[in-house]
Amino acid sequence: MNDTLLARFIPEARELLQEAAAGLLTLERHPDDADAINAVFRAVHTLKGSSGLFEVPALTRLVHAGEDLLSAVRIGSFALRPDVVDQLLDSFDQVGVFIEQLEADGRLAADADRIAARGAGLLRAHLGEAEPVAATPDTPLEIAPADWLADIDAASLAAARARADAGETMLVVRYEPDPGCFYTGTDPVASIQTLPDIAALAIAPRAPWARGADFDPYHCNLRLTALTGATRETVEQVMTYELDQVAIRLLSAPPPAVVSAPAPAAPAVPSDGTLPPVAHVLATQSRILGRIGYDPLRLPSTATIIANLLRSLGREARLPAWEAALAEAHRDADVAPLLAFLATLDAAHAPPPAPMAAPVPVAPPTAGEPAAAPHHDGARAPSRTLKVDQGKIDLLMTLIGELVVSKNALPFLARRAEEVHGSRDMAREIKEQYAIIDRLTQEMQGAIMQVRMLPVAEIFDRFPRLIRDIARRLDKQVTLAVEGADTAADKTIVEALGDPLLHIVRNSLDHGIEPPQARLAAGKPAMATVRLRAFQDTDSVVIEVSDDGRGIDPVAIRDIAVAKAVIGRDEADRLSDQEAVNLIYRPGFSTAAAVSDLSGRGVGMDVVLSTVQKLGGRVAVTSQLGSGTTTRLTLPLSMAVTRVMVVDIGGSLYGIPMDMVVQTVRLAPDAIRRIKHDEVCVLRDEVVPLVRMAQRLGVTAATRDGDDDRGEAVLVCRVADRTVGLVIDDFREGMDVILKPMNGILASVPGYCGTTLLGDGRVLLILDLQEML
Amino acid sequence: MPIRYARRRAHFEGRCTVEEALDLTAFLAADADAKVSVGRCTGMHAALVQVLLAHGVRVQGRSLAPDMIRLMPILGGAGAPSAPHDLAPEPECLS
Repeated sequence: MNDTLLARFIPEARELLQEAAAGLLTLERHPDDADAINAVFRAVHTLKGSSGLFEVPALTRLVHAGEDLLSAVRIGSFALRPDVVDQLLDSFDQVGVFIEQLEADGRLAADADRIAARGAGLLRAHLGEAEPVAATPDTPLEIAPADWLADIDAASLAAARARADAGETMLVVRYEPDPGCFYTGTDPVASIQTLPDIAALAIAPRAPWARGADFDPYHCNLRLTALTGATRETVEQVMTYELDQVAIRLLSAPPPAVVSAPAPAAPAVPSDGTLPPVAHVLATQSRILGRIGYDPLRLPSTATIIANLLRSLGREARLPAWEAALAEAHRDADVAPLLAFLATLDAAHAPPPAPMAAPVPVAPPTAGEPAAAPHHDGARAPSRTLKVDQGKIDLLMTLIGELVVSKNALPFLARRAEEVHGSRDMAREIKEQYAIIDRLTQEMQGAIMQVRMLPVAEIFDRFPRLIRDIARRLDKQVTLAVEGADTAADKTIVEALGDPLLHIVRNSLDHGIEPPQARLAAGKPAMATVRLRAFQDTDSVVIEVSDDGRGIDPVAIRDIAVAKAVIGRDEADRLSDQEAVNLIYRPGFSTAAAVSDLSGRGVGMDVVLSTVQKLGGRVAVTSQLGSGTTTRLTLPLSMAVTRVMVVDIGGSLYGIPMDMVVQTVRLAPDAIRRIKHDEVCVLRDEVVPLVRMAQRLGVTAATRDGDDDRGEAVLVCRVADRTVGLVIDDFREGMDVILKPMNGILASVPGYCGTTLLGDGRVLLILDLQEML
Repeated sequence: MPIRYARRRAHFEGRCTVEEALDLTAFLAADADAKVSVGRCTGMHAALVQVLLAHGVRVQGRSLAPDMIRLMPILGGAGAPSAPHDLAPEPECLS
C-alpha cells in the first residue's frame, strides 16, 4: 500500500466525514436543503472514490452503500428520515473507526468486513435492496435449521456433532453464490474450500436441475454447505468477498456452561465475545461522546438514540433523568453528565466499559500483532496533522520576517556602543547576543518555510491526464516523463506555477510536437516525449519542460516578430538565435497560423513570463531546430526572505540578491584590461566584462585614498547566464531582508526590484541586475 | 486441454477450468452413459462440479489432490445423498 497516498488519504477522509456529518445534520433540520444534500453526497462520493485506491473493501463497501442511499435522496426517490440520518451518521462514525484502524495499523481490523456488511445492509434495506444474509454481528448466532444439514453426509455430520458436544464451536456455513458468479471469475467451490478446518462439505442444487437443452452450465445453481471448526471471524475474513451470499449458523447450541439461554431481557456476553445490542449501543455512544466531546450538532442524535433505547427497554422512568443530563450537558457544554448517565445504564446492563474498543472487540489476536488491539481504544491518539488557515502561517511568516529585519539592527547598535559610547565590551556582548538571535531566527525561518513547502507533485500530478487528453485531441502520440516530483517549494510558488506550466505544456504539444507521420519521416519515434523535471538549484527551484519535437526556428521567429511588430527588423537581426527564440515570450507573439482551441491566441506565453516574473523567477527557452525545445522556469524556493549582499556605490548602499553573486574580488589596476571600449578582466580563465556601477547608476564613484592599495572592488555576478563583474566602491555585509516590491509611482522606476529597511532605519534599494545590465 | 475426451469417457487431468463447462455439457448430453475419470484431476471449477451433478455422473477414479479430496464423496455419490456404505469403500481406493 502506498504510504504517502495513505497519509494523505487519512486526514482527507476525516475531513470528508466531518463535512458529510455536518451536512446530514443540516439536512435533518431542513430536509429540502439541496445544497446540503449535494455537499453530503459530494463528500461521500469523494471518499468512496479515494478509498478505492487502498485495499479496504470493507470501508469502500460501507461508504458505497451510504452513497447509493444519498444518491436516492438527492434525486428525490427517497425521503430522509431522522432514523435514517442516525444510521448514516453511525455508518460514518464506523468509517471513522476504520480510518483510525488504517492509521494505526495500516489495515482494517479482522471484523471490519462483517461490520461493514451489516452497516451497508442496513442502509441498502431502505432502498428496497436485499439485506445481506449475513447474520448481524451483535446478535448471537442462531442454530442451523435441520434442512441445512440435509445435504451433509451422515458420518461427517456425526463426527462434527461429537466435536460440538465436546465443547468446540462448530459452524455451519451456507454459501449460495450469485447465479452469474461464474462470469465474474468466482469459483464457489474453491472459495468455500479456503475455509480452514472443514469437517464436511456438501454441494447441492438450489433449484431442480434443468434438463437437456435448458441446462445452462454457466448459471450457478449450487448451494454449498460446509461444517467448520473455524471461528466466525475467520470465516468472515476468508469469505470477505462473498459475505453477502454467506450465512453462518451454529451447528448445535453451545453447552450451557458457556452462556445462558439467549433471553433478550437479560443480555449477557455471548461466547463469541460480541456484545448484546443494548450494551453495544451504550458502548458506541459513550465512545462517541468521549471522543468528540461536546458537539451541539451531534448531540441531538445521541439524545434520540438513548431515548429510543430507554423506551425499547421499557424504562421510560429513566427518561427525565436522561433529559436532565442532556440539559446539563448543553448548559455546561460538557458531556460529563451524559457519560455519567450512560455509565449508570451500563452498570445495569452490560459488562463494564471495556467496550471502549471498536464496536466489537477484535478477534483473538493472531500471532504477530499481540499489541494491536489496545490501539483502537476509545480516546484515540490525537491526530498528528494540524490544519491551519494559510493566513495564520502567512502572519507568522511576516512576523518572523520582521524579526529578521529588527535583528539586523543589532550590529548597528554594537557599532554605536563602540564608536559613540566607547564601550568595546558592550559592543562585544551585543554581537554575541546577535549571533544567538541570528541563529534562532534562521532556524525559525527554516521551520516556517518547511510548513509552507509543498512538493511540485501537487501540480505535476495533473499532467498525465492532461497530456493524454490533449494528445488524443491532436492525434499525436505523447508520453510524459516526470522527474523530481518530490522537489519542494513554497506553496505560493507551487500553486502559482500551475497555469504557466499548463501553457507551456499545451504549447509544446500543440506547436512543438509533430504528428506521428512527420516524426517518423524525420527519423524520430512516433511516440513523442514530454519531460517535466524539477530540481533544486541552490536557492531556487528549477522546473524544466522539454519535448523532442520540431524545435523553434529562430529565423521564422524573427520574421514573425517583425511582422507582428513585436520588435523592429534591425533589432531582430541583432539578436542571437537563442535570444530570438525567447521572443516567443514577448506580449502579442503567437506563431500558430490558426488559433486552435488549445493555444495560439498569443496570450499564453507572455502570461507565463509575467506570472513567473511576478514570483521573482525567470524563464528561458532553449531550442534546437528539429530536435526539441526546453523551457526552464527558475523560481525562488521561498518568497519570504531574500538574502542580499550590501554594497557601497557612490556613497550610497545598495543590495544585490545573493543568489546572483558568484564571488567578490579585489582587482589590481593592472589586472583590468580593455577590449575596445569595454573593460574586462580575466578570472579563472574566463574573460569577464566589467561594469562600473557608479556610471550605470549615474552617481559619482567615491575617490579612493592614495594609500588604499587593495585594488578595485569587483562583485562577480551571474546574470542571465552571463558572468559579469560589477565594479563598486566597497563591499558591505550580507543580510536577510524582506523585499518590498516597488509600488505606487515607484513601480515604473527601472533597475530596482524592491526596497527594504536597514537596521538603522535607512532604505536599501535592491538592484535588479537583469534589467540594469 | 485439461479434459481429454475419449470415445465414451472424459478424462479430467490437472486443473480443470470454467472454460471446459460447455464442452463437458455437450459431451455428457450426447451420451447418457458416458464415464468421467478424475484420477489425475488436481482441481475442478465449480461450474464443472455443477455439470457433473446436474447430469448425475458418478465419477471414477480417485484424486488425492488437496482440492479434490472433499469433492470425491460429493461427486462419487452425486444425485443420491446416501447410505453410509457408499463412503465405506474409500480407504481401499486410497491405497
